Amino acid sequence: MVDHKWIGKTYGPLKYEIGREKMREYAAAAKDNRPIYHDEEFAKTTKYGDIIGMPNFAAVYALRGAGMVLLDQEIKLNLAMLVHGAQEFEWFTVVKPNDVITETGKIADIYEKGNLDFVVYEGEARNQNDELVCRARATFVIRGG
Amino acid sequence: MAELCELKYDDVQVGQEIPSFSHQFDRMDAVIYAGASGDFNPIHTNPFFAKDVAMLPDVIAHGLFNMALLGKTVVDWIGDPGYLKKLSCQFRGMVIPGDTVIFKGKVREKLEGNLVVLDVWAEKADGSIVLKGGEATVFLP
Repeated sequence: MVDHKWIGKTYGPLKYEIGREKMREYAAAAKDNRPIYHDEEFAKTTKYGDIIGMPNFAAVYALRGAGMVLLDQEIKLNLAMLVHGAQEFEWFTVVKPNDVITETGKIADIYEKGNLDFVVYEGEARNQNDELVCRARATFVIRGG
Repeated sequence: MAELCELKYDDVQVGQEIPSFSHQFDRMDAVIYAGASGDFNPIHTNPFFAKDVAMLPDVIAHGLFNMALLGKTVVDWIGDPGYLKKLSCQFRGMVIPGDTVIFKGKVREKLEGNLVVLDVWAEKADGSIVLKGGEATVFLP
């Protein structure tokens, strides 16, 4: 069982600078050749004016705190028995090249069901204008309690 | 201005299925996704580790890779990535090289404010579930 006293533990702020080629690399890795992710000339003809990040690119810029939870030496989760059980993203605006994202996160919940432990991380990503970009909620499941 | 979304809120019906997207996973997909995402867990990229240490049948796809393809499936339907407001799912089935995964969605309800909620999921050709209980919320003009 994971000690409930860690509920509320915070991570960050973590800075992440959005790179043009990294955005493209992520979209290509996710099999998405949509021009708005890759082609600046096309993007200039749209309301966005430049290429935008694939929504799921939030896995890169809004979940780094979750990685810190997994490696947190105070909590020492049993990684051998841990799987990423569920994920939720909520987007409020798009990301563009050179945006500087600041992620702050916390352990939002810890609970048990049967012999499974659940640890929930919530990250909030804001851009350089302090606009909310994305909320990310990752649920990790640890077998064996 | 090039318009990215040609779909209209008024044209969408509850119960309507969106075009599915099908992808056969191979081990290079996981290597490329590892580099793009920064998740280098060897269960996704190293078959020796996956089989001999983690006791898996082979390397398995990243859950977030499968979820990205689910997001792509919804964006392919709406056209404008900025109109995808929410996406969630549970990671259930393992995907190993050679598996074909089909990503699907169906309109569950239409909300005020031009929002549409879909059930979204992913399954293999044999019907076994990969991504379960997913939900997507999109804005449509």
